[in-house]
Amino acid sequence: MLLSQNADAHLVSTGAGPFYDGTAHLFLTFEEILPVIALSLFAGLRGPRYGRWMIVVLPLCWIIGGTLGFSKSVPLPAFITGFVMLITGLLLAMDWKLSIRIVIGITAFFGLLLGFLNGIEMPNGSILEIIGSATAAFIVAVLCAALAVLLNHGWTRIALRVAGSWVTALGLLVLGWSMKAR
Amino acid sequence: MKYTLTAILAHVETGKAAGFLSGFHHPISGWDHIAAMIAVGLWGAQLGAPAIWLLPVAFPMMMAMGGFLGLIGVPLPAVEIGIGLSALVLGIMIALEVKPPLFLCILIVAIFAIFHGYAHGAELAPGTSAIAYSLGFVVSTGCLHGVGILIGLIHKWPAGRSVVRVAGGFIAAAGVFFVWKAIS
Repeated sequence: MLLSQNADAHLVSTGAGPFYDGTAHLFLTFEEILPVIALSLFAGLRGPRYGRWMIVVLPLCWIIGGTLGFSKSVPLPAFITGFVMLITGLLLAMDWKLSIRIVIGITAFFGLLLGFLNGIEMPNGSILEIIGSATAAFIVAVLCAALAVLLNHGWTRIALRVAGSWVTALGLLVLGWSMKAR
Repeated sequence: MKYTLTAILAHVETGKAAGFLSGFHHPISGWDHIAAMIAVGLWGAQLGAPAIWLLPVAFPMMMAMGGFLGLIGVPLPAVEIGIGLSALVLGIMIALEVKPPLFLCILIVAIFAIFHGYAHGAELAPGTSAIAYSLGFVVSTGCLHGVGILIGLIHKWPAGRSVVRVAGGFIAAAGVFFVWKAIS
């Protein structure tokens, strides 16, 4: 009864918990955060209405995909991450004038896919990790979509599209690396 | 008893950090790459909108295509000659203020970008992150284009136009040297 337990002032041994692990995971994984940024910027360039749908659909589909990911644990081909970056970068670079339904569909697809990729990478398989990464994706999406709405004219719009071309270029290179590794 | 000093590294860059820095350093590791990438920005500034941003968009994307081709093992002959020629041709375009149709400008830049990307593509150091490396060298390439564009903005003044043309001449001369070095 008088035996004392450790009182950890700093969570070095326990960690910050699965929610924050999930949050940090997104920010430390270029392959996931870059497509989220590209998709959010693209939605923002399309307009506030697109952005509002995207910030709701993306995290919801992320959670569904993530839950499927850690419950099924079916590995996806290595080229998937390059493919995701390539397509989301192209969307932003080309700034295609797609209808809102198509953009919602694309957001849902990539939300599910990125969430699934996240889910199969989570070592503990806790729903809190998925919620953490989905929350981080939501925050990034809100900030980027809002930024794109603000910068949606003149040379700033062009700068965002240039950034999209960089994400496309990265996607192509990551595709190449994944094919080289096989 | 001997006491020897060993390095105590405060920051040990491995994985993503090393990969990004390695990739960032790659395009600026050779004057031939630097010359060509600045030339793309200069030429874009000389041509004006929309080439001023279309050329620096086309170059990284096609450079990545070149890297992709290199990674999957598609053979591409005379890569170093192609890189040298890029500086020569783009330098001439700038020096003579050649303004072909936009699609031709993009085509020229795209073709040369493939050679540059092919050269970079396979040089990933072991233990480094491929995506961080790729991010580093795409960002570095974009920055070099940005430098070219910023310099090229002086084109709006008459004296600036001459300076840009002279810069093109220097780039072309450097291109001659690079081609000669690649051939010999």
